[in-house]
Amino acid sequence: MFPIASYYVSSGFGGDISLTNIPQTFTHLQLRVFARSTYTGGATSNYQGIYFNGAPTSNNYPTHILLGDGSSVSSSSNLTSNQIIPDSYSTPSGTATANVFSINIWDILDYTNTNKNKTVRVLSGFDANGSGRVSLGSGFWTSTSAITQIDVTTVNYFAAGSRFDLYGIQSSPTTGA
Amino acid sequence: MPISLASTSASSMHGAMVPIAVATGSGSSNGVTFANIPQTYQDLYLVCNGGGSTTGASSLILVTFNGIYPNPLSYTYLGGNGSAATSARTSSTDKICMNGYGSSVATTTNPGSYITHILNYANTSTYKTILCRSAEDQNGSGLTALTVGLLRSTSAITQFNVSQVDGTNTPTSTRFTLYGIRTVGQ
Repeated sequence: MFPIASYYVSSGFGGDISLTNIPQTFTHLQLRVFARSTYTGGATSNYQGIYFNGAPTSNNYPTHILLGDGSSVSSSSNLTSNQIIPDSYSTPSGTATANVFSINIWDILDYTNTNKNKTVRVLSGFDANGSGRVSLGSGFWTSTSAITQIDVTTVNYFAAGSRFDLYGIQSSPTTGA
Repeated sequence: MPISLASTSASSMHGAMVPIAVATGSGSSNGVTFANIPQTYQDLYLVCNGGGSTTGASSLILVTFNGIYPNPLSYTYLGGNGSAATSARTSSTDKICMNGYGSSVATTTNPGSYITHILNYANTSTYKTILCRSAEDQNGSGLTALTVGLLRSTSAITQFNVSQVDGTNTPTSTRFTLYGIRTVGQ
């Protein structure tokens, strides 16, 4: 596992986080996100999504999720999304308890392979001492293109203090593991 | 058993994941304390294999972050026991149960596995969010869970303790490995 890129939001940022020119020399990618949005117009948490190669295309990013909200468990799917958003409320918003940030760990396997579609796993959660949620999500990109760019999105902007750290995971040159 | 980490540092020979401490349970009720955690990494990654206690089944807990008391922690979990899924929450508490449930089926001979991510641990402007994955299988029974916890403190994490939920002794068969996760420029 090797660090590829890092981005820290020092103040409210006016757009998606774009990680571009991703090296094609690793086997898998892991994106570790510590985040919160600035949106104050609705719920105390909002979505966090990703899409690839600058292509947020409807129906191309189906997702499934297993979710716990502290009192009940649910599972659902979304087959029409234009980005991978397993949980619509995975990231605290501007009206959440101050200083609370979510963890979203995205695993993107075999991202350079041009013979198959891409599958993503995400572990997400935040706790706000009386509220919160935790989930295991999956996503799919209906494309055989190698992934060269990842865009991370939320409602409005990512808040100051949010972090995005991208890692490449190598295969063993000896065993192929 | 305090494990001082002050002398460890990252090296270019490592990838992003740098081992900074290894410990085993001491057989005492104090568990293992990781102290003087270097502030030079982006995240911490704790791997535990073991469980139970010297007197029976007992969940591993994360406690005593920076020695802060009382009740700076809270957690929410999603778990399954092979027949039913559940989600529950504990607020304003002094511990995070690494398997969510609080009770455990792991034993010294049939251990559980626990992976904990502590992101942005050295940051001094945000609370700390912690994510644990647990797996306890006994060939016929078991628990698995994903747990998210919160430390309501903006201080950098310099120490924490892992011990047993009921204060019983951490068996010597329980093994802990703490890694630092470097990011670009670290």
